[in-house]
Amino acid sequence: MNDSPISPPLVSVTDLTVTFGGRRPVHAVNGVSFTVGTGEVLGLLGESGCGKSVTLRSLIRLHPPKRTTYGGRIQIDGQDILAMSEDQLSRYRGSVTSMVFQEPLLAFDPVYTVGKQIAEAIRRHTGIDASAARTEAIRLLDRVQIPQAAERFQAYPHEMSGGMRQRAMIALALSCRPKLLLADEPTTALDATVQIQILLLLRELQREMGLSIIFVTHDIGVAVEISDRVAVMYAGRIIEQGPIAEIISAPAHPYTQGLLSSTVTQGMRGTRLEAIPGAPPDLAALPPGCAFAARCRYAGADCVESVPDTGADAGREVACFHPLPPPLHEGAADAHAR
Amino acid sequence: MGFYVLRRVIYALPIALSVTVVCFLLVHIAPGDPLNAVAPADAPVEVINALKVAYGFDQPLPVQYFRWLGRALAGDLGTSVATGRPVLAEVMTAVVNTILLAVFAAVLGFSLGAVLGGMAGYRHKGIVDRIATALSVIGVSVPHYWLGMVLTIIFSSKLNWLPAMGAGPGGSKEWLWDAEHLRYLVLPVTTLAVIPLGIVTRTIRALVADILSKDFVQALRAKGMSDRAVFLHVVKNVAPTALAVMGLQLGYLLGGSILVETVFAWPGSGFLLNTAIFQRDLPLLQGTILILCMIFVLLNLLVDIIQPAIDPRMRRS
Ligand SMILES: Nc1ncnc2c1ncn2[C@@H]1O[C@H](COP(=O)(O)OP(=O)(O)OP(=O)(O)O)[C@@H](O)[C@H]1O
Ligand SMILES: [Mg+2]
Repeated sequence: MNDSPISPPLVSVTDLTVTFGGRRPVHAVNGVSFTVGTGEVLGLLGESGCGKSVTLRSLIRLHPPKRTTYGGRIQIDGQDILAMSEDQLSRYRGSVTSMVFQEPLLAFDPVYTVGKQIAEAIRRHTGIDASAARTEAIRLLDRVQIPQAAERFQAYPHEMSGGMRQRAMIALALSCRPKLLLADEPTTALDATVQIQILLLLRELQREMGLSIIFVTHDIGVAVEISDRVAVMYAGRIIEQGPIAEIISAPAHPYTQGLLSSTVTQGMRGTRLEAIPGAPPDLAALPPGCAFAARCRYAGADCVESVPDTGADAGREVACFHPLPPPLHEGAADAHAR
Repeated sequence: MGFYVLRRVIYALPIALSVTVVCFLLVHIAPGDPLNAVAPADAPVEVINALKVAYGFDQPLPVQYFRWLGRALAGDLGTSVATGRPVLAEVMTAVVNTILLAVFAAVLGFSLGAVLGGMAGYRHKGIVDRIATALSVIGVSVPHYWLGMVLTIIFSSKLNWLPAMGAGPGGSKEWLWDAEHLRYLVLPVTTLAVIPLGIVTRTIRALVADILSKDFVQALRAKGMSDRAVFLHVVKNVAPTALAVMGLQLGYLLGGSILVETVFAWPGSGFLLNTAIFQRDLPLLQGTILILCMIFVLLNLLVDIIQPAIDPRMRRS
């Protein structure tokens, strides 16, 4: 039913800004726009501190209400998130949009059993009785391939392995059949083989449920594995986005290129993004121009004066005054993308 | 679970035993001869020696200890030198009075401390937090005998609202459940509640603020849990440590406060201890300390047993 070409995207974020108050306000997100279609997986990529988690958490307004100022617009499943009351918000969280956290050991309450925490979410959003919720929770644990699900229902978080905990976290997040899943580096804390299993599981569940996912990661290899499209963030802005294959084969933003070359040379998977000289700017004192200009080889006088707009070009956006030319064998990259 | 309890009980035994040794040695370490209180200073040597034999002081120490321990286990703690009454009876009356005071003070201090500390933890660095922190610092640092005297001066001497001395009209030591007796509780209970109030407030404030900063609280909100549901999770996380601290505080309260009981002439174990010391009533002193220490060991044991029952993280170790 969502196949009709006129149906709007599930997620539509327009010009989102997030500022944390205090003596020196931190501008963590500075005008981010993107959309995610139904059943689409968007990878959110970028260095530590560039605002990936802040962007993600904004989609369920998880930041401390008193200190956080939001701007722009977040439209998810036809609802205006920033305009919701607290009550609407708590009904929306976990049912339409849910979240998987980076460190499952910390994301589960240590004094409740894992099963109880899943059942609790189910009861919150469906109102079914405790024993039905329990049955459903066990079914979910089984669905995420946790062996002996009925026994594991009774386990406390510290009694599970890291991989199993993350599976349980996924079961919890999917327990109320959400349309959008927010995944904040869900595999970073796991070792490589477990990481792959979790990614495969997520992919499988995503296809099966027609789920949209926004997947935050440092790791380009992981992004390639899971995403349809990627958005690359820098200093609270998306500086480039487009289909994953195009971005990989023909990065247009110098920062994206820097990211890619720093990982590609070290092998695709499992390496952290680094090796670009210099450091990201202070989010409490952003420069007036392109935030990357100070570290950019190609920067000109225009770059330090104003922030470049994102020029939309057939699903491909680049916020740069001097984008890199596509490689000569452009046809090959295009073919790759399809 | 049963095995765990058994192990805890077995661990507590050597502690209890060392307590008895210390209590026994107390009489011999204490300055002066234990017979001084009984016999006049100028008593003839034959009388002293006869007394020594009568009290068993002529035997070697280990023999004396085991005899004493055997009698103590049978409930015979000797007779008070000053009153001639059995020590056990004296101590039991006093302990009951102290328990009364302690339980009331604990209920008052713990409940108020939990509410204040909880509010402060939720409003970390807010106005309520500042007030609660200030109160708890005052509660912990104000000398409570001084507070007791101030309260007495205000509510007893000046306003004449409440009695200042004793546990009942006419200096009776036996407690009765009526309004007249309850009036005697107000001032000592208030005074005694101030320290646990301060400590519990401080503890719960820190615990709540810490729990609220945890990732899982964010995760609870992220799955749509209401503030009330989150609060229940916070309570369950805070409970084990909070109960341990309260158990310890209750232990101190049950030990009886010499100072507070003396200020209010409350016939409890602290007051008894004071009397025993000043009258050099060694059997009484020994018996009182022994029973108080045993109560403390028992309470620690209870806390050790209860804590893992409510905290799943502790069950394995
Ligand atoms: N609640 C908050 N209050 C103040 N500043 C915050 C808050 N949350 C995040 N920030 C700041 O916002 C910036 C972006 O943080 P964010 O967590 O989004 O980075 P990230 O891209 O997810 O990095 P990482 O890969 O390390 O997780 C950081 O400078 C961080 O210190
Ligand atoms: Mg992050």
